[in-house]
Amino acid sequence: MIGEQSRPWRRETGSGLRHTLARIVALLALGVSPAWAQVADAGLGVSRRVAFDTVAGYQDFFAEDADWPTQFIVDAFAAIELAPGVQVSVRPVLWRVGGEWESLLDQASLRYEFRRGVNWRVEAGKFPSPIGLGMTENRANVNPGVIWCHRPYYMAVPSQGRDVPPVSLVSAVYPWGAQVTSSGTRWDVRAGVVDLPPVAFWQRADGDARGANRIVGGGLTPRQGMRVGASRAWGRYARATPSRAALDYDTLTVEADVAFGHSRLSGEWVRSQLDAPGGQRASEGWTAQAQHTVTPRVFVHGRLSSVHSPQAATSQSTTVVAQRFRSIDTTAGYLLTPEVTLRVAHTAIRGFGRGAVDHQLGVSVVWTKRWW
Amino acid sequence: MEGQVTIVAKPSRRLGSAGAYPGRAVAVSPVGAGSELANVIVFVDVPGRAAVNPTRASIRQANEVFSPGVVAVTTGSVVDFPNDDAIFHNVFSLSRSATFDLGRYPRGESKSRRFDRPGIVKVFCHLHSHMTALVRVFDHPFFATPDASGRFVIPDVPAGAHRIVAWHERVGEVAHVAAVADGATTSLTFTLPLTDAR
Repeated sequence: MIGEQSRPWRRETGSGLRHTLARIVALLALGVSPAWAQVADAGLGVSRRVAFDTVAGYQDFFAEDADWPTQFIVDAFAAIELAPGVQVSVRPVLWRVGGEWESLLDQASLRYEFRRGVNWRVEAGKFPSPIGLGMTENRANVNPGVIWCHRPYYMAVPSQGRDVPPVSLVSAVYPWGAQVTSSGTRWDVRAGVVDLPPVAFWQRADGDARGANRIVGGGLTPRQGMRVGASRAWGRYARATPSRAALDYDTLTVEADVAFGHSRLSGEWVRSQLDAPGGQRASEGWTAQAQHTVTPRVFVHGRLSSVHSPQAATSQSTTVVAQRFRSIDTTAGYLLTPEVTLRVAHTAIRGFGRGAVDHQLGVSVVWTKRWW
Repeated sequence: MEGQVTIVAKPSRRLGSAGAYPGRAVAVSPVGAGSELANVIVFVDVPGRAAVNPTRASIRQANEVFSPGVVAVTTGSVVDFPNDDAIFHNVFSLSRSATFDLGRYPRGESKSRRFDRPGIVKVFCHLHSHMTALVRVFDHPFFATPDASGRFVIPDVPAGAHRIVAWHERVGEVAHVAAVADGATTSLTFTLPLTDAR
């Protein structure tokens, strides 16, 4: 279960998949070109270094009046270092979410990290959207909750009107693009251009959402384990149609993360300003979460998410009504081994437009293995 | 004493980090190709003890890698083990020269261990079996780690004939016997056949 309810899950279209595969081939071809090989072999006398890990998970949610499909995921990450600091990464994901197996490609990028005065990273290809705290832990072994993601990232906000594509407050998208990141001991900055708006509903793989989206961000690290950052993304989330003009967005986030003792607190605030028929509207939301390690094998985690968003009163109306989503996930985890984690959780959700709170019980097993 | 260490090597073929989510900050890994020189210690095989000045060293835990992977210190020195990762680590050793368990601790925290007995201390993480490091403890000050080009300098070596050793965990010891004269500089060259690729 992701978001409020089951949905027809995204599937790569035939042409989309072909384009994706073509891009991967192009990246790999670049990676095995003779020029790179000469750098690696003649210059250093070394073999290429590699990394390969997998995260396999099972997840189930139970509710009194709902029967959620059992979910499975196999999330693999492979990287090859072509030259010092230069690596090609690929991350295919196979998962069964809505009762069917789906295949995704979350990452296929060329990354170069180097130090010139300060540390630099240049990345191009397909990579995690560089905005939003949830995107830094959008993997079953990294996310401490039973659910494998931050809920709002996989959830559309209420409709903004007729002929307006679905959007999220901030979304779990893996766009194509390029970004540059630099950091020192106590700061980091990044800037990038990606082809998917970070407000695009994650299943929306149609071409209408694609365009140039600018993202800038940065943060301060006053001490080890503490960071405060902010980011902004802006661009167009829907092209013009015969019935309306093009629609732009402007998203601002503030995120913070602090670790002390055996605890970690983190949270973010997000505001997405959206063009819509009748004028601009703003969706706002925040997430706060805490994790505490009780014993070497036992941890607990809690996450509170809230999204406040307007909704067009009718499909053709410019009148809006305020809607609110709220969820509370509380999780207890047990490290069966360093590679296998068992989790059980209670979730309380009040969806957009609902007065009642739904209660669910969730369980998950996650097996993480670094093979190389 | 000075010299040059050359590695005929295939360094580790394992990338320091899987890096699906590399983080907001850029952690340029010091474990780059060719960096096996940083895991070499050149030392004078001095019989008996010599006066030492305890120092403080650091082995960071970043991207599930101990960095540096090898540290040489004198007896009485303290090594810090700061955790830079967003996950817990648990540093421990069962080596005879130092048996300890620093317990589990999160990012932002650092724990330390004082090393009083000479020898080789193998350091691991309870939670991440692929993490290893070595602390080599000497009861004399006549040792050095080569720089990135392989150059090393060991100052103030007493005059006399000495066995000089270049040591790497996976190579073992490569030794030369050299005569050291007062006021003169002795030059040595070591070639380490590092063929192991993890």
